[in-house]
Amino acid sequence: MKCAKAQKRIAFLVNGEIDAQHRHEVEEHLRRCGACQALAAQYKDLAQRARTLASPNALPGFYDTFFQKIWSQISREVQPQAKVFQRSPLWTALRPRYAVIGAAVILTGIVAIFLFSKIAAQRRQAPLEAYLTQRNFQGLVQALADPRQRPFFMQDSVSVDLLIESCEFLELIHKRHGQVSQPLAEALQIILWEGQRRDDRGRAFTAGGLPINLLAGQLDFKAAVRNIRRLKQFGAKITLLEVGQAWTGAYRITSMKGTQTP
Amino acid sequence: VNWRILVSTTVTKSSTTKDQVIQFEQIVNHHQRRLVALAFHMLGNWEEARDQAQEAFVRFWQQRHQPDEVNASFAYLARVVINLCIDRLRKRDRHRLFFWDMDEIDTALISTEEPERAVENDELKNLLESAVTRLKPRQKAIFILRDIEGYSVAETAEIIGGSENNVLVNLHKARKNLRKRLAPYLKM
Repeated sequence: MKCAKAQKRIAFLVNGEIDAQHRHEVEEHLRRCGACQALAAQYKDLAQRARTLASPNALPGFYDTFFQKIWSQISREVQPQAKVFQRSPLWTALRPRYAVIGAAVILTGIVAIFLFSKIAAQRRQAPLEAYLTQRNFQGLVQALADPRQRPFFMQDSVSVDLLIESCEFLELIHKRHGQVSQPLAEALQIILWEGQRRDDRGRAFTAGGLPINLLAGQLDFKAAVRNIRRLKQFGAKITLLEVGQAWTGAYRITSMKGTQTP
Repeated sequence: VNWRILVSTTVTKSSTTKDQVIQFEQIVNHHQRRLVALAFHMLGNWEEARDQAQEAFVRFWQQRHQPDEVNASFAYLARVVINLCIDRLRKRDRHRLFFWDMDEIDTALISTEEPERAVENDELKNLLESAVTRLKPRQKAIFILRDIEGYSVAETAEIIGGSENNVLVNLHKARKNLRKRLAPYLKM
């Protein structure tokens, strides 16, 4: 038997709580191991000292009215007295310890409501603008791919300036890293849509557009910015009408109209 | 300890009679010292210990219409006292958490100028008492019942309401903890 195993059983041996087989094993180990013998001696001393604490004596007269007090309590419960004064729940609630807990709960609630309302507002009111402002392009790709979130993008408006800003930011990333990852390339497809669109007065216009060759990894950002700038002649804001699946598999905006701002 | 055969209190199912009250008083007188001692070990305060023991007797009386529950009167009373004390200790801990009762910080184990010197028996007794108060409530209850008051493992399990294995596991933890704390003062 090793020390670790024996040490778990020494206290049981000292206090007679061990079966014959284990006792024999532990005793055998103790004969050979000085450290465990010392441990056994300590446990033995502890056991003896603990027994000296048994049945402590109270001061004389301590039990004189012991039963009377019990009986008076029982009698009180059998014959209920007049209604006793009770503190109002409001007072209890305002006690310092409850006030601290209450304040913490209320504060947590306010923060949670604030955060939830912010997230909900971001998702429901202007999701595209929110994602672009936060430069969360990957989040935008995921949101558009989610059928539950996709409807929120319908009729969503976004400013042309923000589109240009996003394009320039992506260009910066491209310059710094030499390439863009697949999610980022998909984000570019979403932001920098291309093709002929019609405005609300039936005029045709090129709604953005990106000479893009994903397979070759070549991106002409300057042409993209130039195309987006053309949108300005139809209005400073663009309203999205439709989101469809692109050839890469990602969802992107496929139809929109320009809105004149006053 | 032969508490099992000391009292057989099968209180009959009837309204309160003079005999019942006399019988109840006998039970109180018989068990009060051991119950208060248990509560005192748990709480370290005579007044509080008396309150908890009295509360246990009140509950015992209220349960008098359920003879099965009260047949093993001492086991029942001891279990109630220990549960009341554990509740009390938890309330104390909560209170300490909120108000940082610095005056309750125990300094008994701090003054160890010469830990090697042979301490007086009374001094070691105090150190042991102080170390016992620092055990976790359940471990403390089991250590008190088994090692201090000397009940068997089976009796301790019955009082505490758990298996014998559970009692042994808690006992081991409690003893290990106490041995570590008191190592400089225990005989090698």
